[in-house]
Amino acid sequence: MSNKNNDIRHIPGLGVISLLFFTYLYAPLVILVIFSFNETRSATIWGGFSTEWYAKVFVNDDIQRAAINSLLIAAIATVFATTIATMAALAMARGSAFRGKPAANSILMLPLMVPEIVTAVATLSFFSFLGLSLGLGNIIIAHTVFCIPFAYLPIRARLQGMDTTLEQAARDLYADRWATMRHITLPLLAPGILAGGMLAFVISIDDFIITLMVAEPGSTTLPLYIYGLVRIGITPEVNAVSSIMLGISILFVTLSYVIGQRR
Amino acid sequence: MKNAVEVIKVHKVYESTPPVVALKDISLAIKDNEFLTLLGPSGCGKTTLLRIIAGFEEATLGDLRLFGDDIAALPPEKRPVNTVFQNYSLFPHMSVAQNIAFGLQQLKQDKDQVAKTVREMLELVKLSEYGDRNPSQLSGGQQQRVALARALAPHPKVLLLDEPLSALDLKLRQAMRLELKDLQRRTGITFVFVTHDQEEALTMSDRIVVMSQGEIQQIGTPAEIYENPTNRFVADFVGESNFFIARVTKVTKSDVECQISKYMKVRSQRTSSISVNDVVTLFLRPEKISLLADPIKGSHKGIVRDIVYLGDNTDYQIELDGAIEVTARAENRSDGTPLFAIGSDVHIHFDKHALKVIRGEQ
Amino acid sequence: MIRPNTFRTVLGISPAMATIGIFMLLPILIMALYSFLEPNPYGGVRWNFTVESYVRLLFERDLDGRLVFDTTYLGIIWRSVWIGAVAVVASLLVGFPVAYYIAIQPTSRRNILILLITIPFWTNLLIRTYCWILILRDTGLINNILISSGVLEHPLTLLYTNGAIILGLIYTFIPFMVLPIYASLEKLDHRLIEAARDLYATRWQAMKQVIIPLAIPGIVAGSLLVFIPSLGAYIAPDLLGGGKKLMLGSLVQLQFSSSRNWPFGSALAIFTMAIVMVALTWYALGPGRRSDGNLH
Ligand SMILES: Nc1ncnc2c1ncn2[C@@H]1O[C@H](COP(=O)(O)OP(=O)(O)OP(=O)(O)O)[C@@H](O)[C@H]1O
Ligand SMILES: [Mg+2]
Repeated sequence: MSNKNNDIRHIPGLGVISLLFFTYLYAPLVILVIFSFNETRSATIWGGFSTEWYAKVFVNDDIQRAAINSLLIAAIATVFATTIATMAALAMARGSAFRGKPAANSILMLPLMVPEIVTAVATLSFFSFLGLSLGLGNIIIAHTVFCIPFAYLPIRARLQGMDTTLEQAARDLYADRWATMRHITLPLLAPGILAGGMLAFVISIDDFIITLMVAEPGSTTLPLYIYGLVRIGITPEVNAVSSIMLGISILFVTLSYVIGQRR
Repeated sequence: MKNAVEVIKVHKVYESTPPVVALKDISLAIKDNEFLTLLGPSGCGKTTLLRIIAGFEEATLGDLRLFGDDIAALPPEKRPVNTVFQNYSLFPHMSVAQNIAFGLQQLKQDKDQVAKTVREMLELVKLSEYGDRNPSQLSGGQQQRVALARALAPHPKVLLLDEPLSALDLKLRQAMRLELKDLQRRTGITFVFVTHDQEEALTMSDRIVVMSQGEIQQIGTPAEIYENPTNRFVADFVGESNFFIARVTKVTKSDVECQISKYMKVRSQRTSSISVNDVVTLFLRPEKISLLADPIKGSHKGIVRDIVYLGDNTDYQIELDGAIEVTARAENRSDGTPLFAIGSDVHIHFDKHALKVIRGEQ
Repeated sequence: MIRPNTFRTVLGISPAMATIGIFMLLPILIMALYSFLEPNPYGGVRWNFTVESYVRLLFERDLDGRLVFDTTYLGIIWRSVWIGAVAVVASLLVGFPVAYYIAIQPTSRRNILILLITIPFWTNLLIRTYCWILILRDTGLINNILISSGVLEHPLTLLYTNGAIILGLIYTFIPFMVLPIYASLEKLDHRLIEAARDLYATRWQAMKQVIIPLAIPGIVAGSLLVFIPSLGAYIAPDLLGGGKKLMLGSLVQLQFSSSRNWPFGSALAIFTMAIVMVALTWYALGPGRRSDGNLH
């Protein structure tokens, strides 16, 4: 079966197409990272290896402020979204079948269904309608909503893959509802919650369009800052910040994958 | 003395689409200290009945008593009943010892007491060395014993076991049968044991409940079930059987005579309410048929059509009277060869007590 | 017995329902309301009811205030739809063979390839799009290589074209195409193909008559998942199209920022959402439902 030429399912050329595809997928990212180490000011002509742009990034106050904003927003939004999503997943997977359940499921998925730009301008309208101006708070609220389904899906998947007889065994052994939740369900669900939380974090830290619309002056996040730089011109600093963000995302997603796989 | 468990007119319908009727009007009294087995084919409702007793599932109709108390409304943690699950369901994030301690801790026993009981339990199931292991580092048989120890540790009044041996290989299964039976005797706990393996049921139980399609077919000791099945399903499901549909031709004080084919009549013991011309089903275990080379009084002549070698025994398919086939089982010769070859003439004989009339024509 | 408690169940999902209800559903309703108000030239709205925003989708007012049929916005909507459609078709043409290739790999290899596809999907959209500027611009990688190797004398205009936008859209959304197709192909029993080949079907016939029909649910889902975000895309038209080649998403954004016409932006957003809802409903009633019944 593993021998390609004998594999009845194989079709010639597939391997080549796939190889090209993965090159297409990764080449731009690799190019970005390579040029972030470029010696010269030009962002696209190689002039030798240097880490000077990274050094510049780390002493740039604006970038640091933006980074702190981003991390703060992502951390808080992640905690809220993951808590809300965990409760929802437990209720949906272990709770009773009530009449509004399909509707509740659709509402949970709503942030994924509505185009992001619509969410962005709707949230902006909402805040202006209420005259709500909480600085970072506005962004945190918007991100929490948007992150809920991303946290929800891995948690729900883990719950569904979990053997329900384990919880029954706990009840059988004199653990009440809450003791079962504490000693059995939550510990076994932990990898799912962690994976969901990490995805929520990545989504929040990477979000651009919602933040762009909702952010007030002074609430600049890293993506907003990068966007501002790109609008002005292409510089190696942009490459360096972008590479750092890229690295963080890849790290988190890979970790979340590894944790989610763990049994 | 009070019964350990009383199941009274329990009816269970799963509200799936389409709804499934899993139990139909089940009534059953389980005695204290007894080893009771629920036996039946897959899907007959054994697990469902067990889960209702444990409290994981709610009966649609009917009552449930434990030593006289109505427990139908109690959640599982309030019932002094423990379960050994079919797939063991050991907590994967806890060590063997922590698994066994779990129930005791939930009952708020003090630490020393818990540690002592855990040690005793590990000893009881011969796993003293394994307390610190993770369940995933144990073999199937060891996991099974941990599940048993975990369920026994809180010393429940009733232990429910759902096909606990089905995942083990034959040798281990046979050894565990004896261990389980022994454990039950020593602890004096009422065991309700679920299986679809008739041999398991016959060797371990004080009483067997034979179920089919959500109904109880017969309740009795292993010998009663084997020797005197009340209907064809039980006779067929427990052990091997020959069935004959026959018309009653003569009824005397102690015997009945039945016509089982054009020229062949057999005698059987008379049971109640039988009259001439009734159509009945007769049943006969293969091992109760003697095979003879020469005819004797009351024997029937036949031809061996096929033989199936079983190791210690051989099954012979014998054609009688050119119409009926019966299966007879006989021990092989001491050199291991069968008594008769295919195509040879043979005479069969059986005691009239071995041939039994069971209800109906089906 | 164990009986799930409806009160606790409802309590469990209510934070999620409340958060999404208050901060997502309600805002959409408010935005719908805004679409019937007059714009405030300094941003926001004036509380006078009018359907002017919807009229503007099709007409323009000339100097005398008369309505004249105007295709500017229809043109942008049309452009968005066809650019989205091209992105879908191109993603499908590339994504299908790749999904199929992954589906026939041994399990361990499959998981790694799937991870490789999901990683870019989780990384920053802005940065991924920005990478293409490095490659496509006049002094970018492609032009540099072509010029220094002597193939070209003057740089080709690659950036700020429809092609660049489409390339960027495919690049960012193609995982959405590969993953659902892979999901439907993964379940495919390879004995079906063997059976087809056994019955004298050639490779291509087996593909056409067995594999592709089974992959239809994945293809439909993937097409929707590429189409919806393409329609509302902001970054690709903005960075790769130079902000001049507008699409629905960037048009909406523009109304809420420099154009300061929130009601019109709201109307456009509502319109975008309507297209998406129609597509989703069609999917839920048609191929989406059929796939549930068929594949098991
Ligand atoms: N949760 C459920 N929803 C719907 N039907 C169910 C459910 N659980 C069991 N059933 C059905 O109820 C009937 C009895 O099932 P049960 O599990 O009690 O059988 P069983 O005798 O234990 O079988 P086995 O020997 O295969 O374990 C079966 O027809 C089964 O399909
Ligand atoms: Mg069962």
